[in-house]
Amino acid sequence: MGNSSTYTSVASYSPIRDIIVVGGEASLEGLYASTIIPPVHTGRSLGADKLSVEPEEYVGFIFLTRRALLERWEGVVSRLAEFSRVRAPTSLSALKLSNYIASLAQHIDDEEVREGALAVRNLLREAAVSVQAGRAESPRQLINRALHVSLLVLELLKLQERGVRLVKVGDLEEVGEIKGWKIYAPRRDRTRQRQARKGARGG
Amino acid sequence: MPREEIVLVSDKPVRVHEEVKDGRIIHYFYWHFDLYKPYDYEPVNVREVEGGLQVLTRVHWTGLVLWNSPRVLEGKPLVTFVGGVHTPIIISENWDYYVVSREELDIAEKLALKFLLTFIELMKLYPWPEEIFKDYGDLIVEEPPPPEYEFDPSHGKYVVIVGVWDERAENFVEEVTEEVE
Repeated sequence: MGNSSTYTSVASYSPIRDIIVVGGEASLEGLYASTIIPPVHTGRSLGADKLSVEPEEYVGFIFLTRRALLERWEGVVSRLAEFSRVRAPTSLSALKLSNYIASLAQHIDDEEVREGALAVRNLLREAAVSVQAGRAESPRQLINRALHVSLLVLELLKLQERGVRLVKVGDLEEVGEIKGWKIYAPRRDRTRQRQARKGARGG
Repeated sequence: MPREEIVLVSDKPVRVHEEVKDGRIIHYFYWHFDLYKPYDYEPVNVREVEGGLQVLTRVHWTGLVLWNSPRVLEGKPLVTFVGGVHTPIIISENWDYYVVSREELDIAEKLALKFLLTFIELMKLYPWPEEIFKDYGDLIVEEPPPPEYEFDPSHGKYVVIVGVWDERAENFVEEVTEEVE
């Protein structure tokens, strides 16, 4: 395990139970403020089950547990709901939230859920521009759409937090076509794919 | 005078709107909320085709789900409702699935589909005892839902087939392609 004792000692110093800092170079305050280098770029998952990494490779990185990530995303949804239903955002508050989402998205290890989080960020950025331009209706529509997508992301993060393995829509394989509509099936099942291929008419 | 049920349900909604459209009976199971979504009308249409029953539901506004291998009790498919899935779940004899799509899905559609497919995978693990499924005749009202909630399969951008892939599934997809055209 190489330098695993470093991880253990730093983790035990952490006043925040659900954040685990791997390595001991940076203070928690500094790590909060800085751009977090995403563990997803290293191919590492963020679940608490994946903490037996070699710490020297990851000095200064922050891992969020799934619970911590979920709680933070719930905060994002609450803020969007407030923007949508209570008080429209200023350009600055929309931008701030979009930046926060960008840093949070780096901790989402499912590519499609992360894509959803980044779509929320992009919608907020568009809303910020729209507010600045003084458009009345369009920011609300953008915020409502961001809220809708953020809720879908939330539901998927909840499943992950409960230990459910998410299906990857992008992994479905094209197996046939009917009148220009493409048929997709899970990759793993070759028999089913053959059936659909054999059966599909037209094209 | 209670109307006739077309399925059996594990949970009772607030009420069920009945709509008869082009000879098709659609029951809309109404809930005040589905998690965060208010005014939740979940349409269910049972199709009698050669070879058995099929059940048609929708996911959000643009997804159709054809349950092609429903489990049947007393001649009726069994339905359960799960918060967040955004479509009634029809208990199936076979939980294989296929997705048929005419175009690229947007991010909201993709995430809704991801949730549904993940949930279908989970359903394989749960036995669903038959005794929990009940009738709901006392809840049926003979009026359609508000027009904005009406079920219109021609709005379908994608179809999920749950169950076996067979000629009946193909026929349905062809029907949808024609309606959308």
